Amino acid sequence: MIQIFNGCQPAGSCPILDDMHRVRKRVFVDILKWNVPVIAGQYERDEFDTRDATYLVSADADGVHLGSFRLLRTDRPHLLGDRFAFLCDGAVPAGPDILEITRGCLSPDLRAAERLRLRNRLISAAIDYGLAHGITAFTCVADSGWLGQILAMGWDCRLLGTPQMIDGVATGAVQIQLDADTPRILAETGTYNPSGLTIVDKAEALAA
Amino acid sequence: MQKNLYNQINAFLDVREPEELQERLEAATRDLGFEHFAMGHHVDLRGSPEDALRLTNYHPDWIEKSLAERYYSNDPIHRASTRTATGFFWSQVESMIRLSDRDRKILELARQFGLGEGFTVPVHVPGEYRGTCSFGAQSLERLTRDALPLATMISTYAFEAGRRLLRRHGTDPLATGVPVLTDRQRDALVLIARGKGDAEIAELLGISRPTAHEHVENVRRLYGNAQRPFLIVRALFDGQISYEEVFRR
Repeated sequence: MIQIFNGCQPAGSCPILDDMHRVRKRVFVDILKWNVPVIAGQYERDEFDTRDATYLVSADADGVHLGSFRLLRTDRPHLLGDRFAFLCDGAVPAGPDILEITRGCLSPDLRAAERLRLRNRLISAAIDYGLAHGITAFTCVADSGWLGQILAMGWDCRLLGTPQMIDGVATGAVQIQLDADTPRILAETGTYNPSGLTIVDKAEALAA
Repeated sequence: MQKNLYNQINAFLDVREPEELQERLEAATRDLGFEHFAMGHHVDLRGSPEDALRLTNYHPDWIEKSLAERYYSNDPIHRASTRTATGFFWSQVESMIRLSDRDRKILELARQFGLGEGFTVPVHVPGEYRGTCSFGAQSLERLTRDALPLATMISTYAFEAGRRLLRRHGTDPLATGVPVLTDRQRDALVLIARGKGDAEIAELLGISRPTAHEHVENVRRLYGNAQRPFLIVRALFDGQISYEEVFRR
């Protein structure tokens, strides 16, 4: 099941998010050797994990994190705008209708076939979430491997500037179009399946 | 020109015909400061399966020679490409794999056809044949700034352009290139590659021996009744399983 969490929580207050930060530490710090902050020796958590961040998290019946994405508002501090603006030739795309996808993370314990299915479910959830919130594009800092996967999903995904070698890997900033056609196009490659998300976030709940 | 190279990369997604892909690759190769390119999936080039991609502007005599002498069947550059996820210079190959006399001969002969130096990018999307995009030249002195990340992204986008062309023409590598296995069949295949017999596979997967045998037979059948050694080679080659999985304990 995929759940949406609005805003980062202090460690110890939400077991699923705690588990997500632990797996992020395993993936990004232990395996990929990224130089990112680790809190209390076990949680990968940076300055963009704030109340403005949104998390799409897949967890099993016991609440164990299987995979997740972090969505950041581009009209607030975010990775591309604050850290990787040099990957954009012009202005960094920003606005209330653009979200940045970051920290895509699948549990290293999953087998290859499960990883692919879970990845597709999370991508489908991101599409459903975006369309329900009037989002017209995602931005993303992507290395060539991840970018190849995004492209193979069938997505219209354009480089925003000259890619650079970062830690020995070709990395670029991309903008990914999102519109009513996206589910159909990504369904053709077998990526999209309706996620069945019922999108109720805090703002809507209060308004209702 | 350099400033707009990333826009040229984006334009790969607008390619509608194979000739256009060839032209765009040629232009991008020149702009990077290389002279020749070859992009392709690693399949038996003589068979030319319809779901495999292959485009090049290598010298026709070199292509003919490497086909006739079967150089492609154990090409050192392709072999090195399976050892890394990122692009590499041909001059680095010696530190990546052990070169045989035949390998050295192949590399030396290629030099005579304008392929003295080069950069190869491995391209691999799950569920698809392994592939590479190579850029070659007599020397690297004309390489443009940021040539390596640009070459890498050109490879990524060119492969996607090729995939979309194949889909447009009705042969979808995602659908037809690699046999689709169940999770259990894949587990069995990894164990076959580790040299396990039916009994051990049954024990390791916690299933009965007849069921294990059934999985193995179904995998063989999906790979055209391949015998075990060939089956392993094919499955490693088409990306169904990886070296990491086979050797991980």
